[in-house]
Amino acid sequence: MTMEHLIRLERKKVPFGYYIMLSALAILLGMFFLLVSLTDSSDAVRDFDNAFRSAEMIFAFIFIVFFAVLNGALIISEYNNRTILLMFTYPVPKRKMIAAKLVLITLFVAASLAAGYTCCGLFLIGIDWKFDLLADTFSGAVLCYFVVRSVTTIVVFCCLGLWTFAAGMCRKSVTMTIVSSLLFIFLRQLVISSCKEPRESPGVVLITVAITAAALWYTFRNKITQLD
Amino acid sequence: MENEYTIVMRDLHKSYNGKVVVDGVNIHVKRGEIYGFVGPNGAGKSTVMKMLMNLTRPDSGEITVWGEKIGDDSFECLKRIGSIIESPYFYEKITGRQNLNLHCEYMGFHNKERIDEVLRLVGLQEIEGKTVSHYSMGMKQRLAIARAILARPELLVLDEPINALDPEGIREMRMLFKRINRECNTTILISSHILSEIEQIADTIGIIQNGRLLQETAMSEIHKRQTDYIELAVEDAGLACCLLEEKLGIRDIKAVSGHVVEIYDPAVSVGEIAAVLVWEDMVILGIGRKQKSLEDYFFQALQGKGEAS
Repeated sequence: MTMEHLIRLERKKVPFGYYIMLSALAILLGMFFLLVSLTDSSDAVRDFDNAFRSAEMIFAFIFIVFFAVLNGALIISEYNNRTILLMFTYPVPKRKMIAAKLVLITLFVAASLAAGYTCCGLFLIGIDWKFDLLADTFSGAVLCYFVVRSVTTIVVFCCLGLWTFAAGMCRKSVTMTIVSSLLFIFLRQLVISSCKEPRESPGVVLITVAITAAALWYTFRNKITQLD
Repeated sequence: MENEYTIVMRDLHKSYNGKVVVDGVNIHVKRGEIYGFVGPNGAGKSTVMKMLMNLTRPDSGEITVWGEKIGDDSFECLKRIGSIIESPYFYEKITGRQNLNLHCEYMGFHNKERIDEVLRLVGLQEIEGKTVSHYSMGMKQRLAIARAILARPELLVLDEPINALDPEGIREMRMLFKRINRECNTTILISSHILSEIEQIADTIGIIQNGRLLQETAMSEIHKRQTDYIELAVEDAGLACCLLEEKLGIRDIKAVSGHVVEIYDPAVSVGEIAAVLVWEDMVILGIGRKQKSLEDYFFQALQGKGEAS
């Protein structure tokens, strides 16, 4: 059975429309906070870089927690509800079935983040064009900067989301998955605040990806087929 | 010899956190038979079934199904097996039909008309549109049976499949299992703690206790051993035993309580016993012929009277 087929079957198990709605709400919430940060009365410099950083912080919080919630609902709960006993009697490799779930969650969150950044970007451009709220003006260089930062943060946030999967699978606990997401958000803030620029350097991104690969390797090797 | 058997388990051992749950189990399930797997709660029935379905690995020992050793890549075997393990588990937020559809997809079974057929067979044809979360336990059990038989398996592994069913449901499912076994020559491994049900459908039974298989016997053999006996209720069982020994020369006699005596001598009749006791002015509270059931056999085996496997 192909990975694509398995992903399609996973989508049939849960009412996915509900998660799409949650994702849309999360994006709207992000835009709302962005508007609040743009219209506050402090003397902070308001430019595209600052505005993007605000959006990034809001999305980090919302979407890493959202990733953890999806991990809990689509993967860990299968172990807790024991439906995994049914899944593992099918003539499909066990690890491939869990990998399909994880790919689905990662793609969904990555797509949501991409949609979120696009909406926020368009919102910023629109609001700046109408009310001239930002100090600088939108240009090709800003767009390029936007795209690179977006891709970087999508990669990092998805990696942190995958960490929550590894943490939750240790004890097959939904609570542990959600709590770990908050810890990883805090950890990220600590790491980027210690950097020269308040963002992930290429080195930090590489280390994050490496840790993710190691955590996934360990989890898939030791935790997937462990049912008792 | 191997071809005669669908399932062969050799010297299976399994421990969890140092506690032995399966201890040297050997099971032989013949092709086309119904094998009843009985034992008290926690005896190791579900663990053995999970090992058969490759849900957990034995610490040592080997399981072969249709001559193929069960391992991580036994997908061709799994395609030919229908199962219920532990309890009827479903995706609760979708309907019964959607659950069965998913099962078809995973099993690579592409005959959606069969879904209507199995829903009708288990009496769930009227449940369209209802999500599984709204099903009663009995309905879930029926749906689990429907799912197990959906892909026309050659082997059914059923862990307590009649739990939560009402008497009518139990009867219907018993008939269904017998029919599937008879018409499709499907081998069935079924565990249950309802011994009277196993007695009615099994060709062979395996009795397990504390992870050890105590007996593996053909039901026909058990029926042969199920000797008739006379049960006598009197005021003083001890005195009645003495009298019957003295007057009728009965040796195979047992006082099972202060008032009940069991007489196993096939040569003696109820009339003769009654005549002796009446002659000796003993009050007879009750007398009649009885036969030992699987339940009696089961408890005998658990009390250590069975042969080790």
